[in-house]
Amino acid sequence: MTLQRALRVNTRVLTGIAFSTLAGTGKLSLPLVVMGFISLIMSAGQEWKWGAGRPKFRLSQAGWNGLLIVACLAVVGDFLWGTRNILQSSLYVLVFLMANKLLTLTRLKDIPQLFVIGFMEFLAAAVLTVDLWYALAFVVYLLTAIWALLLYHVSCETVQKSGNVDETCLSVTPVPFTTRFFWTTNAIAIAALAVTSSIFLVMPRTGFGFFQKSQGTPIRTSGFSEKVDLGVIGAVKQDPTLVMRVQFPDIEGEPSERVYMRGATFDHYTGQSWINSFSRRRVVAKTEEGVFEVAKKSAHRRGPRVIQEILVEALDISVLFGLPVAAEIRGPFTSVETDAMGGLWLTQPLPGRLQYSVTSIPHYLSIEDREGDLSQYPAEGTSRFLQLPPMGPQVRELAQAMTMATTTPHGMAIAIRDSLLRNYQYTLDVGAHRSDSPLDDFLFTRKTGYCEHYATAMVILLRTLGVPARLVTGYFASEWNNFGHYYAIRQQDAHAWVEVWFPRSGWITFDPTPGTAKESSNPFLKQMGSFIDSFRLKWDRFVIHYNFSDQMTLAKGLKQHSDSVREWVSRGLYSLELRDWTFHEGGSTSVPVTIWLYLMGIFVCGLVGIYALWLRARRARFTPVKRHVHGIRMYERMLKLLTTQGFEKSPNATPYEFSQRIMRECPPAGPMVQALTELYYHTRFGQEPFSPCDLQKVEQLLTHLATVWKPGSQRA
Amino acid sequence: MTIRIVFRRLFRYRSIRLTPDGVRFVLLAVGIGVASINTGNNLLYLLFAMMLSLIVISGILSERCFKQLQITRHLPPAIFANQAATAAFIIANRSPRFPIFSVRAMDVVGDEVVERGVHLLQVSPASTTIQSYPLLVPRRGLYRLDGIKLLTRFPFGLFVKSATIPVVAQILVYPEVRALAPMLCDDLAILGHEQALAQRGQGTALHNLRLYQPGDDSRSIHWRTTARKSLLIVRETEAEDLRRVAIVLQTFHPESSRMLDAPENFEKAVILAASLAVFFTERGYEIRLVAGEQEITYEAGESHLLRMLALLAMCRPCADTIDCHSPKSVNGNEWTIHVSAWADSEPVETSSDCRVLLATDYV
Repeated sequence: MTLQRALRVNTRVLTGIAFSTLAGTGKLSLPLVVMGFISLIMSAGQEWKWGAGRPKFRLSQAGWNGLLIVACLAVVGDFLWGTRNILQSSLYVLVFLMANKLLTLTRLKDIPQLFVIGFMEFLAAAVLTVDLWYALAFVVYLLTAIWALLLYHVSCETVQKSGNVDETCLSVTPVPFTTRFFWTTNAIAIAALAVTSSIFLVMPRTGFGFFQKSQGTPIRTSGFSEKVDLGVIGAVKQDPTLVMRVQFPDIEGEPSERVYMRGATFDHYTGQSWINSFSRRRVVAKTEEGVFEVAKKSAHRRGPRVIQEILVEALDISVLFGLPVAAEIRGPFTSVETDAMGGLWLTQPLPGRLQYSVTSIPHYLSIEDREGDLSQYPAEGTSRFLQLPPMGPQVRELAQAMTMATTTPHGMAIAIRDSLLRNYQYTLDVGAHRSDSPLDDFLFTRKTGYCEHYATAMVILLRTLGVPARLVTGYFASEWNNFGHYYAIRQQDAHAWVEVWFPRSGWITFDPTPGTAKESSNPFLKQMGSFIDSFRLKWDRFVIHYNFSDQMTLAKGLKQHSDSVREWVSRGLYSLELRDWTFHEGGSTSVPVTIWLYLMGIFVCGLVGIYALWLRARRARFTPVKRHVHGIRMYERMLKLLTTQGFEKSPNATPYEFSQRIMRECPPAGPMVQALTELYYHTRFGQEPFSPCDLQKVEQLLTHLATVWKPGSQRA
Repeated sequence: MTIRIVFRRLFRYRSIRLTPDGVRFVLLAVGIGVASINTGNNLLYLLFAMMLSLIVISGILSERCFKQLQITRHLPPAIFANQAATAAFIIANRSPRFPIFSVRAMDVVGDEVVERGVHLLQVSPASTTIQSYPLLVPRRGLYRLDGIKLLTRFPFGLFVKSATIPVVAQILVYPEVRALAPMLCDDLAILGHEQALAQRGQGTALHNLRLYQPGDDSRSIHWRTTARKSLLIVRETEAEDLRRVAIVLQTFHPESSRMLDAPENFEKAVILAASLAVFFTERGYEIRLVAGEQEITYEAGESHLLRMLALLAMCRPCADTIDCHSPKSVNGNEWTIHVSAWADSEPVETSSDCRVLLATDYV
């Protein structure tokens, strides 16, 4: 392959990667995508058929100018009536320029222009997406770009050296595709990747962005507004869209307790909808360290604190999720609001993904509450959570029947929960008909439903018995990712459960919904999916959301690590000194072992240094005699091969005369014999010793020479 | 001196500048850097980091090229002014694994860098290559090469990195030698012919008769004298081609000749003197050269010629002042050619067997 062709092919591949990355963001309109790929394919075909020559069918300059005007009009039109986004609109011109350059690629100076256009496309893709596949595209683009830049540099140098204005020398110069060139280029590419990563990690982050755009369309959620109709959660129960990832940095492995990510809370049931009647919200105070204290430290209960690191996708709601009961929140938001039921909101939904941390103090049921009865409940303050909708007496009768065997509120909650689990069937198919009393339908008619029905039923049944209870909506985490050690929570994990109030313990979670067996999927695919998702989390965490505090954490971690290593080493040396080990030299003096160790260390270092110097000197020595021997042996091999084919060199013929004879009498072998003879002259009589590349070239030439006389090859 | 050597080794002169492509690259990188800081977009930071890494790697690889490259200069033993000679750079790649790409080598002469057209696209690992180039020095004297400058744009053509290696070389440039005018050649060809020194040597003319000594050629026996004296007498012949000439170059110029073209005229005189020396050496003459107060006595041969040329290479004109020593006098009985740069210079006392050549008439 010639240098010119290699450069042009590589440039097209690089441009193709950049355009594919841009197309992969999904933000390019279909006509643009089609146009781009068509131009890439046509360009590839052009290269295949005509190489660097002028293609048979080509557009005139006026034609290209006309298309440019069309592209500019498309930009204006898209901005005014289409996407209304200047970046996306300007992609019309960018893709047009790419097509233009690809189809008119003739001279060396066109190559850097195409590099720039491709890079602009790659840059636009970086603005338009944050997905994981961009990482793969980045690596491939970087590796290809290194090759492209190197080939371009070699081409420019070749043209400069030959003084060839019209660059025809490139079409006859072969690519220096030796093994060394190949591995050297790949090594440069890998080094570039490593240096890029290092610079990315240490480059200071300012922590603000003026023109940051939202990344991704917000996911539409259900069940977290102030009024929720019964049945809205069912609409998303089959949606596998990932909503958030939750990590527990202080817990090793998967948490043993069930994880309910609390979202919204409702206290008032109308018979068809749940409403949060606590309309007032208060702003949560922010400490100097940037922590939002949901409850003052003095009011915190004693108990284990559970920290959750939550990465939420772009949602259309401003609810902040977390385990009950949230005590502190840290995150990149200016203010947080809360209400009397412990719900947490942002003042407005933030664009793009959101990463924040919640510290929760779970409530546990005390023994007194477990064994206490309804008389312990205060008369005032819980009326909201005893509200009942208009309904018949059968609900109360059912509740009493379920709790005949118990008198304690805890016993009642357990009994109702167990009864619902046992006697009612989980299903998402509840019919499209909107009932006047969905609760009655669930309890007495269908006896099937999903989480909302179960939770509503339990809340109402408990309220009829005088036990304060409320409905909570959120997500139930069930998918543990072993690779990334986090819960992957999807839309289908949206859930509703019950919180029951106890005088001493507070609100305790109860879940009356039976667990559903998820469809068994291929375990390998599931593992692959988990692996990819964990990689996606790391991508989000360490690249997309990498910030100044991460850099500080990294720096502190490195410092701590170096301190611990230093401490370990000094402790080790100190412990040696304390021991009473000594060596007696002739019984007169004793030398502590530490000094022996130091001396031995110096001795070993000296040996290593001397060995390194010897190796270096050995490498620097040239042995001309050895290389001359290579040249002679090579020539002898060639002569032997030619003798077997009837071309014997006469003693009085010089190697040059002999090569001329072969050129005359055996033209297919002539060029190879001539090249070998020149190499022989250079090593035998000149001052150019054989290099490993020359040796490789010799082997190739001898191999090709041997094939000249093989049957099927061109007959001499 | 040791400190200077150490300092020079530690901080080998390096310079770096941007190519036009490099300027565009850096501007683009700055733009992306500003955009990334402005937007806080980490993917833009990633692209910015990529561009910075290309700059860093470019610097590291170009420096590595220089570190693993060993270059020496090979100069010819003799150079004549205004005559092309062939010098060579011997470039070795000391690395056993990594090739060197895109290196140019130039000579550093004083403050000037002289392009020699030595451009290597690739030097294989652990190999040596010789790159010859023409060397043309316009003036005689000591020509000093202060160093070798290496340039590379490897690997991406964004920067041009140069390294100056202090490899000092001095070479003596002999004066230009030109062919003499045919009339002058004819005139000089017979010079001293009739004044050939009577010395024994190869020839036909009788030089001496003496008694036969064992080992003498029997063909040289002079039979007539032998018969007359009844003793074996041999004939010694006189050397026919043993001729001598003294070339005197006038180095001081009188007051009246201090014009602008005085140095140029002196150079012409030196050229003429050198050409005469070559002319007579080719014809087997013994030559004595006097240039001002310096002198090279009679001798013949190639090495003598080189000594004379060396003297002519370094001779300088001097003004007619107290500091200028009087020229060496020539004997009255030898053939002398006075080469003068100035028409009004005082003639030296000579015998009638001399020529005075005004350089401007013949060069």
